[in-house]
Amino acid sequence: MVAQTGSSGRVAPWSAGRAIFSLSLRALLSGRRWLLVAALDALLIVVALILALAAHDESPQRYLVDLTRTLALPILLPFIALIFASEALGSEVEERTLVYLTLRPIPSWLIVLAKYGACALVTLVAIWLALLPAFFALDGLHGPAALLPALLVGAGAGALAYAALFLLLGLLLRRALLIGAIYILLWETAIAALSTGAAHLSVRIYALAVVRGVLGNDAFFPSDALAPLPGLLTALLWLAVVSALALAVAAWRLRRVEVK
Amino acid sequence: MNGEGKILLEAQKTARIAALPGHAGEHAAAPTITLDHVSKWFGEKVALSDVSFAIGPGVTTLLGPNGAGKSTVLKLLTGQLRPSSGTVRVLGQPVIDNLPLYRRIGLVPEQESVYGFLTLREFVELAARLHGLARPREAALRAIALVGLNDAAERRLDEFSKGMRQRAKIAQALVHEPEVLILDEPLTGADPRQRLELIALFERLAEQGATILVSTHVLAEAERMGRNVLVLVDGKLAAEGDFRRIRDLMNDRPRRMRVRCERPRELAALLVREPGTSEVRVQPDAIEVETADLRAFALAVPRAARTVGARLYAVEPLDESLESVFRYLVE
Repeated sequence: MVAQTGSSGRVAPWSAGRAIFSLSLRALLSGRRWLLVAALDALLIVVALILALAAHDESPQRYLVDLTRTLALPILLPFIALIFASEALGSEVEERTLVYLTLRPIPSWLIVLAKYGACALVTLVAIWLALLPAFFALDGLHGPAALLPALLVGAGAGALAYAALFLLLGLLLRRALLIGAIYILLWETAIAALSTGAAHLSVRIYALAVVRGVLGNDAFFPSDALAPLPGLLTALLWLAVVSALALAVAAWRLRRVEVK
Repeated sequence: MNGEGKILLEAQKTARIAALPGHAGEHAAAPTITLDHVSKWFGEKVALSDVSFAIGPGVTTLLGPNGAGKSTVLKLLTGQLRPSSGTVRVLGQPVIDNLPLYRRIGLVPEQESVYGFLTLREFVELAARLHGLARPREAALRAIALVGLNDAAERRLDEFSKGMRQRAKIAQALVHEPEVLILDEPLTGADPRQRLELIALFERLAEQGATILVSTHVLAEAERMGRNVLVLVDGKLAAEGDFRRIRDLMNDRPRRMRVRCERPRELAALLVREPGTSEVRVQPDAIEVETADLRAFALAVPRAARTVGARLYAVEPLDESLESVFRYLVE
């Protein structure tokens, strides 16, 4: 028998990548993860509605930024990313289906990128689906024009970084969900909140810096929250470097996974 | 692999790769799969110890009990594991990170798990797309037809029985028409008719020039699948070649024969005196003899029957099955 391939005799990265992306998207949407994510989204929306009722004459937009700063970015976003991204490659390893992807004439970086694309996309959509109702509930339309883009871009940048980190975690560790949850609760919310040094190693701080940078209005932030925030460009660069590094390590690791 | 079966002695192992002419005698082709002094250990546990063999096109069965190292061999051949020492070559090339080579290999993995949320057609088509086939859907449908699952093409895999999943895994391994097909226990869960059909499929593919390496711990399957056998026991290659010839070469082991006859007690009394006979059991209408010298036994039986005036009804081996070969090797 002779292997029959496309006219070029090579696997087109775009075509193979699209196939894995589509497979991963269906895998992520086929489980019951959405129930958990929907519950997290609902939590933010309910809190936003309560704040809207409590706001009275005060600026509800300030509550919106507070909500983003204290709940959406440090809790919701990383947990949603963890739920999806740790499964992207982790479940393939756990369920031993990885061989259906790795024993193909396609490079490991393509598998990682396609998987990452899928889990980053669903994380992004999930966090936006929570932020948008919160935005409208807290009268965001009457706030600065840059408020909505700031929230969406900041959460989006954070989603991309968290997805990359947790995708790597899922590939490296068997109990990625548990270890990821401990990381979020201990590092991202507790230690990074107490220590400025630790904050500089926290995705949350850089995502918040993006919100502030795009918003361009410090009045929405308490002074103690502003202190550790870097500039917009630095934040974007840091998030991009962290994401790229995590994905590069994942691609390197993927080719070295031994199936015992 | 050598067409002549052989039990491996330690001294034979070192020079064996050079001495083996691929599937000599049957295919006379260059080896397509070669393991040269390959060992694999996981921490303290040795999974494979200095295993060497070379096989060419055709069906070869990798036989051994559970835990013998069969899956380890197959994972080494498909790049899922790296050898701790030694070299693994498929189609003359190293396997690890050799992406162009993966286009020429098909694997049916041991594990049952598949993407349950996909239909069979989607599952096989995914493999076709990842192999860069020009017409993935047509290729997928062709592979599905080969394993006889046309009617189930649009059913989700999580609705499949174990046997159907096995065939789905075979279809995804065949979709790109690989030159080398590696199958880890592919008949698990298949019913008897499906087994026969799959074995016939492997034979057809082999006739077209493919190298097919099938692992099994079920002796009856190995016996049906082809005469070329590699026997792994405790991570070591215990035997290779034609399993019947392997049996013939086991001259140092007594064979058990049953002689159905009249006057079994008198016949037994004579046969027990024959050189090479180590044990004789008398039954109402037969005797069972264990002999280390089959030739002498074959001459002695009619002679003894003439002497006592007994009629012979049948002389038959009791341990010609692969199971007996296997049991001997394990012991």
